[in-house]
Amino acid sequence: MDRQQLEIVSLTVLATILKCEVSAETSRKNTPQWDSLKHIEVVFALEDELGLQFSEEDLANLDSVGNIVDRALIRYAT
Amino acid sequence: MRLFEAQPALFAPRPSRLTLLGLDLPPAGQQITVNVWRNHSFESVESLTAPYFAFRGWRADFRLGGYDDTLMFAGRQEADADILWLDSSRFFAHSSLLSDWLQWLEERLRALRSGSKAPIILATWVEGSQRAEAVQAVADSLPAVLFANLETACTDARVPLLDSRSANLAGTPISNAAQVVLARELACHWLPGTLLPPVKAVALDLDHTLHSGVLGEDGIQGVRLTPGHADLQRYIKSLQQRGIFIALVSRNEPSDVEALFHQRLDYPLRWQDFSAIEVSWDDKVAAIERIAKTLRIASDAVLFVDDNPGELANIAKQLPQVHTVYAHPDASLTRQVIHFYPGLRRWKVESDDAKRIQDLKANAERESLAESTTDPAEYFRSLKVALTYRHNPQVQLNRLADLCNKTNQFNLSLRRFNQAEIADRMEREDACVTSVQLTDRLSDSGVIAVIVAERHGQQLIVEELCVSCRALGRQLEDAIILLALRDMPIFAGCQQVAFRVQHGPRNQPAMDWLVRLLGLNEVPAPGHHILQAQSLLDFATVEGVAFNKE
Amino acid sequence: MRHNLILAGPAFRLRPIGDADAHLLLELRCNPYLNRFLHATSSGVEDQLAWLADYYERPEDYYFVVERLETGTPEGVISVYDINFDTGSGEWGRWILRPGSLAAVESAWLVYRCSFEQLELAQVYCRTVADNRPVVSFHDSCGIPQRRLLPGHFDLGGRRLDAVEHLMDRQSWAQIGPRLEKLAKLTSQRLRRG
Repeated sequence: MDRQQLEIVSLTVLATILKCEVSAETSRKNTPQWDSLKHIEVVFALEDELGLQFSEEDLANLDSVGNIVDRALIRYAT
Repeated sequence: MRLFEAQPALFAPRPSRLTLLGLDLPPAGQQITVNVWRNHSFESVESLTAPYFAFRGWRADFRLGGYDDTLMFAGRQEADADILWLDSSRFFAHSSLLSDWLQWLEERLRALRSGSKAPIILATWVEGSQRAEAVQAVADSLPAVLFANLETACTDARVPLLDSRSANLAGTPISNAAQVVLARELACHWLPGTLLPPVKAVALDLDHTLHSGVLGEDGIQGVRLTPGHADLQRYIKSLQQRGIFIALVSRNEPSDVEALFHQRLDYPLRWQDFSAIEVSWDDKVAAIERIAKTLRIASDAVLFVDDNPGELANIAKQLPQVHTVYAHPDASLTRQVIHFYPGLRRWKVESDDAKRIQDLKANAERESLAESTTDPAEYFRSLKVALTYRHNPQVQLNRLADLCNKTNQFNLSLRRFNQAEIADRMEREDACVTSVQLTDRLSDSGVIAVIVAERHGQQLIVEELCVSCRALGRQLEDAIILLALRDMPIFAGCQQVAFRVQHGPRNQPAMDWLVRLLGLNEVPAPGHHILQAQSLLDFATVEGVAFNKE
Repeated sequence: MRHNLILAGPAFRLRPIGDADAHLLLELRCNPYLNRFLHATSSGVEDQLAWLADYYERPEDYYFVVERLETGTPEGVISVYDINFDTGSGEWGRWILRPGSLAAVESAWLVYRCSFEQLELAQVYCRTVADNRPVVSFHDSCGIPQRRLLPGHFDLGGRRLDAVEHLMDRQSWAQIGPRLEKLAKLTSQRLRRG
């Protein structure tokens, strides 16, 4: 998947799980619905939809659309 | 239709978390509350159960306790069920012996049981089948405690149970894939198996349901038994071993359908597998009502499977209590939906469940014999009818609780005692629980009645009185009930028997019986109704019937 | 509960909390530098006294004030609670120290000693809000092997927050206790130097 496709998948996951409007700027800091419990569901759903497994180090950094896309690209490359 | 459209997502072999969480299903009616006592995270499983509950028309309010390895059950409130959601590896991390852990677990279950009569589901896993058997034995030793083996559920679904990454992310070692599978088990099997009334019959359409194609157009050899349909038929056939009736309801020429099943030897289902057959050009609403009557079950115990959304909608409108499933062109999906249909699967298959089908077959012969005999004693003798009474039979606890909860017609007080409540009364000196088993030379109908009574001074109060439909219509109601009461140890010295009465939508047969027994002019009002004990003492046993006591 | 346990280390001691400490409790709990990860509390001493009255009735709850040994100056509070004497398990927490206090290591060491030596528990755990990085980091630095995440464990102001749990049993205490004692002694030497 390229960056644009990754962004679309990420936004779909976030919108479905957080049940709020999301954009490329959405992050845990600016989205109160994105609490720790929702974060678990977001990560699991991303792994399913993207067909990859994030590393333990990644998990702590998947806190915005941008970071999700960046980390996913790294995972695909490795 | 939204529910049918959701079937592929809900019942895929490996449902997708995102798809499940994105489903928008109609708001449900019936609510249950479930206490969850846990030492690892449940939240990411909980969210996945919602669409499955909605599919069946109910919703669950899970009350999560804190993370507590010691299972103190602090602040417990009444609920419909309690779940122990345990990561057992945490106990074994402290080098506990299995026997120590099991002893502790049993003590904790007893503590919870003493404060609650709700069913308890012990949801955990242990390594190895021997350990699992030991846990099962602990569960079996207590009433209404059910062991949900997470390992088995995941093995069956071919997903790994554990993932160490999950522990760090989600506070539970249960893998992402397993969470989805277990959510479905919880909402479709484990909770419904103890809280919902059971589905007792599956009524199936024929064309595009049990095979691909239309019999009337493609002919007997032209309809296709795809691998999916063959598998579906084998699965449906296997339901009989669990005492689930199979019925056929099809708009077709009856002779064509019978010829199909006789000629297509590749069909796993045979003509004689169907306990009820409604093949005609009639309206399916009437057909399903007749099926329920033939099977002697209420229509809310029927699951109707059809590929025609119009038929399903018509049933939903005219018989809203009948359960419906859409039959997919991909029959393997239909099989999945039926397999997971909430209420179809029970925790235990009792021997009495399996007897149900044979018993129904024997009815035809019984009815024929009754028509040819005018002397009841001769009728009973020729059938070798026998009634066996047992007081406080602990081994029958599951069956007796089933009777209390499933019997709608001949149920006098509708108390709906559960296993724990019955077990409690079996232990008390001022109470008695009596079961009655009915056999004849054609079949063993199994335990067909339960009577629960309590002694209050000179009165014997009948708190629960249920007789299975299987035993009705054989002129044995008085013998079943009055002899059971007379033989109870707590009856000795009583002056009166008080029958507790509660009105329900379908228990007219029980009311009619009491009216006749007490010589009343009208249906008894809710409350207690008295029979003098002497009437019981004077009751003559039925000639031709053998009476046994164990 | 009202208890009489006192534990002393090289520079600090734990002593039982009493009504006279209600002002201390109020000061600590209302300090904006300290209360970010605490449940909200009222600003009245009466409410602290009412809370203490309930605490005195709980047999499985031991609350301490952390004091400088030399001066008796209170530097904070700490507790062991939710004790299950049947299973020998308890939780420690309610750990608040004044800004700038050097009592962290020694108060933790003393509360562990209380748990294992005086209350004779088999294990004791501490649950910290995951976002409270300094405290989580402190527990991690103790080398406690049994650590896990408890998602959504805390409910603070209507928000569910994750907790990190550190669990110490007797086996790990045997390794970690001496290490903490050594650190406490080093800290006390630093305090004496001024």
